Amino acid sequence: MQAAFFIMPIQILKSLHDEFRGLAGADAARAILFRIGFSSGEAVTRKINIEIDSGLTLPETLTSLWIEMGLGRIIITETGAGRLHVECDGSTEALALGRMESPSCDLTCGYLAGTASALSDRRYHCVETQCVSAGAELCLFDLVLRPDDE
Amino acid sequence: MEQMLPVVTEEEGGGEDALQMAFFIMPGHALKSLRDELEIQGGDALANDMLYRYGIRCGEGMVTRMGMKCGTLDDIASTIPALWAGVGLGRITVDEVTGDSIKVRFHESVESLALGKPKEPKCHFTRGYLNGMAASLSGKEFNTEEIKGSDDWAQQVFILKRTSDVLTPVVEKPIPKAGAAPAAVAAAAKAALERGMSYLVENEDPTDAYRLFVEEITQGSQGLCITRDFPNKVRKLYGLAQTPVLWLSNAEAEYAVEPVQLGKLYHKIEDFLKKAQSPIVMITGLEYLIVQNNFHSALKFLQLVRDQISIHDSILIASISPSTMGDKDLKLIEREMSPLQLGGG
Repeated sequence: MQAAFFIMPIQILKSLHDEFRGLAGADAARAILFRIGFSSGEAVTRKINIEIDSGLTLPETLTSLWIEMGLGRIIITETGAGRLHVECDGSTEALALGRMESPSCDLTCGYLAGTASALSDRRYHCVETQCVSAGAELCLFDLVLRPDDE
Repeated sequence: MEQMLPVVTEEEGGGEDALQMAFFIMPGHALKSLRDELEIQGGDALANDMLYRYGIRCGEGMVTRMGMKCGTLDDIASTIPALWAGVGLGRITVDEVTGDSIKVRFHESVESLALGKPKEPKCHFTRGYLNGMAASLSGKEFNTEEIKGSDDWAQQVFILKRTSDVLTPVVEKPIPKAGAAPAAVAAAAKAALERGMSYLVENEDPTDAYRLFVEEITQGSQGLCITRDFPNKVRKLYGLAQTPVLWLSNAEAEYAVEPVQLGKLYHKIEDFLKKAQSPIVMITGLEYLIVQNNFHSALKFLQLVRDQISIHDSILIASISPSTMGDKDLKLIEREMSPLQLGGG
């Protein structure tokens, strides 16, 4: 596929959240957006053909790759046992969603997990623990290896 | 990366302006994921429609970001290929421009490739993206159709056609046919209606709600009427010569919206609110939307519309027949809106 990436304005994220919630309910909508984000993160990473080499760690590679995504700025710290703690400043998904009751950056969560998985060739899951749209200053995510890949 | 893509930068990183300006990137493959998920949830027709609307939003967003305007179809035809080059959905050329349409040819449609090169019109996101660009560049309404561009569907052609401006906000001139509003309605119009508010008129007969709406638009508000009644009948009865009237119906008409397409209806309202000065929106027969969908979908729709009404400093008048509703459901709707007593019913 020639031009394999296209651009979307971030307002579309609100429409996606609203319409999937209307169609499938809140919980299913979160899972759907996570899945779309995951497959997108994987596909972008594979298309860019970037790999972790001896010079860069997974957090460093993920951070530099994330700059290209347009989903906010991240700082990653390793917290042991394959866990990564991600601070996201200016999450575009939270910005698009506005005020919500709970952490809502579901597509970003999936995107992070998909990107980390494709970069490391291991299976990552991602959970958002605090979110700007729920009143926090930063969005925080925990990237953890899935139990079947620990 | 194969191309420079505009993303959120440090300088843009917050507030409404950043929201207008920011983009993120998606792989072409995501269109297949999105389509599959939508199809699972709502079937083929709904997936087509939603992808089309998402495309429209993206096309509008792109033009807003670039801050461009075009006066003629020729201008649009020369602008779109240049804009499109930055989108990443494939390479296009303009085949021809006629009196009211532009024919655009795709040589490498990313959406078609992502969907496995279907031999039928399936590039609804792309179709919407083009439509949104043309409409936003011109400030006019367009309809875009996809047709076969080569025998094997390796190429797709999109016809962007100017349509009548069904949703263009206007200031209605008062028409005597509308008649004088009853005192209670006139008083409500003068005293009670505040911008940013959503009002619920509980009445078996929506006449007073219509009159309140007419009272507002004859004072300079730009109105949008959404109704189960046939639009020509509404126009005649209430003297609405130019005010956009959307018909909740499955009929094939430019001014019709299927009642089950709440997302589509919501985006039409949002479009109108963005364009209008002193907007006012009326929805008659909420009970019809509830019956055609389900209560929770209709309530969610009302909540979203109410939020847009507040954001755009508009007014919403929605009428409902209380005898068709259970007490609990009616209370939930009343919590979202301000009940308005007009003395009838």
